[in-house]
Amino acid sequence: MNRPAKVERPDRMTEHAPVAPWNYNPSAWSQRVPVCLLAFAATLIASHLAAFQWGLISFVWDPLFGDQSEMVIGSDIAKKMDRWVGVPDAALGAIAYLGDAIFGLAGSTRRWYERPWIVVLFGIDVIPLGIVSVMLVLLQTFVLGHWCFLCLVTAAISLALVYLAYDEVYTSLLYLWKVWKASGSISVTWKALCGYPSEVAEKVALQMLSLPERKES
Amino acid sequence: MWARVAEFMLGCWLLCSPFIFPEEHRGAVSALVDFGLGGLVMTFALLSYWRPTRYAHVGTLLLSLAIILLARIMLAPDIPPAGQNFMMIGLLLLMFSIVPNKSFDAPEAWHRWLSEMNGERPTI
Repeated sequence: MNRPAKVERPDRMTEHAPVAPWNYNPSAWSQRVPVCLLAFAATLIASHLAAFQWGLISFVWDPLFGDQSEMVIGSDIAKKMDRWVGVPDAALGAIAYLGDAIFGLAGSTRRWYERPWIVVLFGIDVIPLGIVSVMLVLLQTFVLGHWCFLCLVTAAISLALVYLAYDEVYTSLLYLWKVWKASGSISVTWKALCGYPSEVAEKVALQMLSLPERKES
Repeated sequence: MWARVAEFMLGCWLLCSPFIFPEEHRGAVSALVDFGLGGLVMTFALLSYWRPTRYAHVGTLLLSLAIILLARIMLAPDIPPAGQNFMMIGLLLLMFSIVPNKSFDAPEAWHRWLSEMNGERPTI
């Protein structure tokens, strides 16, 4: 392999370097841990709702709307969804939130270019989940006419997750777009998505990284 | 390797499932299915620790898809609790099996690339 001239390459020193267009690293732990904690909290809440739908518990905790929660998650629509999917919708929600936490944890602090596929999967899990949560809240308001406090909390968490996660997803998609523009090759872009390096991929990653000035030794 | 640990634990849960879900909650599902699937999941998780078979967790990915689809199709319309257990474990395994080994580190390909480009001997 022809070795290009020695250039500034990403290494441990640049692990926390900001990534354009942001002034921070969207894959840093400080960005991802809150997402994982929120997603884990939503998993616990959705598991409580799923336990009611499975008949494992006989009540749903609701400090605001009383037994309206039970009417919402025990409604005919919820039962229809249960029959259609095979498991209660709250259980599916719990799995999806846990997926957010798992995909939030996986990968290094440079995963936006080292493993863009994880970030894209993370985005696929987070963003549609936010939309589905909002749709379910609208459904309970306008169709059922009842409110469910914990459903509202999980919907709020979903929207917060979208807000917290979009920067990293945007960065990875921007990286892939730039690789595509620079290479004009589907193969190179596909390899970049799968986490395989190339000269183009490395060049684009370096362009997006705001590397700190280094002192000559 | 935390995802492999989670897969191993889910394999243990599958092995325990016949003792958790009594006969009336099992429908037509034999306990041997749980034992077989649990054993396979645990084997794939353990094999992923050995370098020559480090991609064995992809087997768990395929197995989880089969578990979800077979439980949904073969046990419909009234899926018994043991069948729902299969679907939930299948979904969990699907998510964990996607996570690579040593997921907190850079991928091997990037390690090798940077080492070669910097004229160093690859460390992996």
